[in-house]
Amino acid sequence: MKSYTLPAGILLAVTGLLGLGITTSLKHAGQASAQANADHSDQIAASADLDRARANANRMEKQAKPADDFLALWQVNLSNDTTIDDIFDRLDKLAIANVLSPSGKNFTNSSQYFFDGKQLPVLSVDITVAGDYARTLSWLGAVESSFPLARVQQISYTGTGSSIALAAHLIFPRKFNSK
Amino acid sequence: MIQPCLDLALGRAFTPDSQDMFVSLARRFAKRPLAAVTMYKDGLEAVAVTFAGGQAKFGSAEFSNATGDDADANFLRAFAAKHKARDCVINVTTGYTASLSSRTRRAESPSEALLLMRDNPDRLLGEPAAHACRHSIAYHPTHSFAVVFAHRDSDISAAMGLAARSELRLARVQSGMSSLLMYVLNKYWAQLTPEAELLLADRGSVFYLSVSEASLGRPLFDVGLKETALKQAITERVGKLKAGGKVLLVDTSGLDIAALLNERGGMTVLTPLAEEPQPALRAICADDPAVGYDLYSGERDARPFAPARMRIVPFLFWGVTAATIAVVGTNTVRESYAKGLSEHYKAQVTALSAGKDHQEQIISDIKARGKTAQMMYDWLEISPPTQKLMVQITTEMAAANKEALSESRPIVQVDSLSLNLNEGQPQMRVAIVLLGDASAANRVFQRISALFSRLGYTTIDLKQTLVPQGFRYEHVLNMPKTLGS
Repeated sequence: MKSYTLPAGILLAVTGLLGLGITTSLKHAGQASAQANADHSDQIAASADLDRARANANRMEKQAKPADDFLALWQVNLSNDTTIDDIFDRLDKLAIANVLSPSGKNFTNSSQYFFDGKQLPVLSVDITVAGDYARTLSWLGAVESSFPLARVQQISYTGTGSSIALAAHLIFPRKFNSK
Repeated sequence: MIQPCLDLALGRAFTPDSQDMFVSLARRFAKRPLAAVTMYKDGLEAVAVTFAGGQAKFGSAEFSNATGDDADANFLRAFAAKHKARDCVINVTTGYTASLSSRTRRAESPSEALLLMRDNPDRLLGEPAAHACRHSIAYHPTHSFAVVFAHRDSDISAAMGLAARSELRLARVQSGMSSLLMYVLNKYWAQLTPEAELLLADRGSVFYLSVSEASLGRPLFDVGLKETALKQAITERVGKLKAGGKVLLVDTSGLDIAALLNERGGMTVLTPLAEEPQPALRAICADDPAVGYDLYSGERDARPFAPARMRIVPFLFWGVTAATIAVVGTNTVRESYAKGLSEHYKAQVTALSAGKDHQEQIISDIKARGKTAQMMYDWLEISPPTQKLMVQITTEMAAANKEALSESRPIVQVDSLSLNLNEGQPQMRVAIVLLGDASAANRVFQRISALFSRLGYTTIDLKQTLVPQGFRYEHVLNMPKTLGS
């Protein structure tokens, strides 16, 4: 019997190790299962977050429709793609169409125009047209129609009779940077 | 150490080794055949033995006359092959002496008896062992008398040689007469009291012993006799039996000793093994009352035999192994499945987060567009059409002059006019220089102020100053909100 005491001990030790293996296996499987459950919870939470974000986006999309419509209407008038040559060309054409003589054209690009608490990139254009007073008013209206986003920052009439000169300083916003 | 572990794990350890002298033949050969060989002086008798329920079952006996060592071995090898036996037990019937002894002692346990009889027989015999002999002891059931058998090493060696030549493993070498005596004393003791005589005879020897409740008589024996001498010896022994006594007879001599006893008359003859064709082999295979003495003189290399209480070990081992395989297998699948699920969920979380980020980007874009729209709206708010205002101012000035003319009052002439919007602010500075009479200029200025008031402008600052030949009108205004919501 003594001959099998040590083998029995070895077998029992191996059995114990196998039992330990069972325990470890159960532990690992439990951990993996718990991790899967946690990940499932995360997935549910992420899904709920997405649903909320989507609902918010949809709601805001609806709420933003007037603003979007407004932008769609006005965005095309932004002069960020328009060159100064185009602007001068159109101003000249409008002046000629109104039998006015354009002169004193000048421009500057600036990113320092202070508006709404921000620095706004703008194109500043100076132009002088000379001719009949009524035609200068007509030219001014034509310019405002042609460049609806342009701000007539300054106008100054000088002279009398048929040699009235209108010096205009126009501001063309390049971009409305909301950030 | 690996082999014992394997034996224990596979359960082989619980099956006794055929060479294990400490285990009874019935247990050693419960599941395998055994060849029982009785060695007589004139030949060999072989019997196939199987064990069922611990009881030996003998096949038919085959006899081979002694013609030489090789012939005996061939006979035995053929017999073993026929019965698929690889082990044999040898019953030696010759070469023993028996004596009465009162100096023997009993061992503490059967295994101690076997060990002492093998390694240190003096301790059991109570006296030095006989030279070149091995011993066996048949004890009186209740008193300290015993019949000590001494078996010659030469006969035992002959038995071992026979087994070796026959390529059979020798499970045990045993004295048939000694075993039969022990068996009879143990099993039929109740029938032998208060006193009786034992007459044990086989085909080459006769053994006589008188027994009583408290003692044993001197054993008398004749060994290695041929038929004639045996018959004579038996006749003499029968003649010396007590008249009217009780005799236990075990007779396999074929000489019908019972008839001789009946001829004497007046005797009680007990023949409990009369129906047993192999009484000596029965006694050997019974291992009763203890495992029989093994006269084998060599070293036995027997695999140890694990006790039954260790059966829990392989059960536990294999049970836990099976459970481990099942549990680890299942858990591996579970773990793999859970990890797969986990990866799937993580991928979904990543995708959902990306979706959420996308939606938040949409929201951010909407807010940005809203802010852009608001800025643009504010820009338009501070950039009202100038032409319309200029037309209205011009109209007011013309109307003032027209009114003055109709009332024959002096009119004014516009020297200069400027509108200046503050940078990024809804504020405007209007400056007009009029040449002419003070009242006329004042009338014009009042009409223009009234105009601004009607249009919703609010005054920040208003001042009129003198200039050469005229007056300067300077009005700083807050512009109205004209676009609505």
